[in-house]
Amino acid sequence: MVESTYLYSKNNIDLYHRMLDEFNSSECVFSRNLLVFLENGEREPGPFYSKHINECSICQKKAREYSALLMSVNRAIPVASLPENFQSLVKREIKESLKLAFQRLEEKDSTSLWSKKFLFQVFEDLGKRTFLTRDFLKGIALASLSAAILYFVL
Amino acid sequence: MEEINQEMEDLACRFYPLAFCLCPDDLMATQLIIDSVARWGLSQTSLENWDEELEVEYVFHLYELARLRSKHFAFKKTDSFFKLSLKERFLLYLRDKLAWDYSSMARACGERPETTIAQIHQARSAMVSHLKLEKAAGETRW
Repeated sequence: MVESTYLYSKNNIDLYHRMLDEFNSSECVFSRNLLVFLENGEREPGPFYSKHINECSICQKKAREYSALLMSVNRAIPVASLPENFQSLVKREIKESLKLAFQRLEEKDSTSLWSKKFLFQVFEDLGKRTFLTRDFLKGIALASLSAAILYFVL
Repeated sequence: MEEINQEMEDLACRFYPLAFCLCPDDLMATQLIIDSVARWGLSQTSLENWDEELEVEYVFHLYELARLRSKHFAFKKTDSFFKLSLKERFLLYLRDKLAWDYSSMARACGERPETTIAQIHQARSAMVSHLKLEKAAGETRW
């Protein structure tokens, strides 16, 4: 069974200092931010941090470990080379695929244009048939005449 | 038309290794590359503006197709890299080989950049543990 020790008691002051030294030699508060700069290559560390990295052995060690990790991951990712006749095959297939896709788009465009024309035609015909017929005009004339009579009578 | 053909051929050659990482088989990877072009073409709604973010859009379609096909396809590769999930392989390749930025990667996956960052770290740690296991197994074998 592991016994725990209270570090902050006066009896354990030596142990406390030993533990603190050990912690300080293995951890640096700024090393937490180090990974942010290393990972996010777009961000540049400021002047204070750049100076700190040059001086702090713990941060330097962490940076070395991190780049070694990235290197090992990078090495383990395979890079396949193009198979034989890949370019000629792909060239032909891509041409066909794109031709089909663009044909479909052109058809779609012409369909929408046709539907617009069709709608216009329908309304035009409806207008001619409904509003320009003799009965419709006669109705309008009668309605306006009766409205005028009513106005003068009343 | 000629211009987009040329652009797509370049993309196909450039992203073949990525397709191979997702589907580790010559034929499957080639088919994936070709079908992604067709899928991209069908997703377009206009004949104009195709050059905007073409690369990200193409990779998005590549990943989506690979994701659909991976359910019906089993491969026998035993390297540490191929022990990772499809998404982990996809993210690691984009970040560590092609050095893509997080926002482009997020758009290629259809996710938020924060989620993508977290997933990359998970993928890396999974990869490191696989590599350690592989190394330990190699040492034991000898």
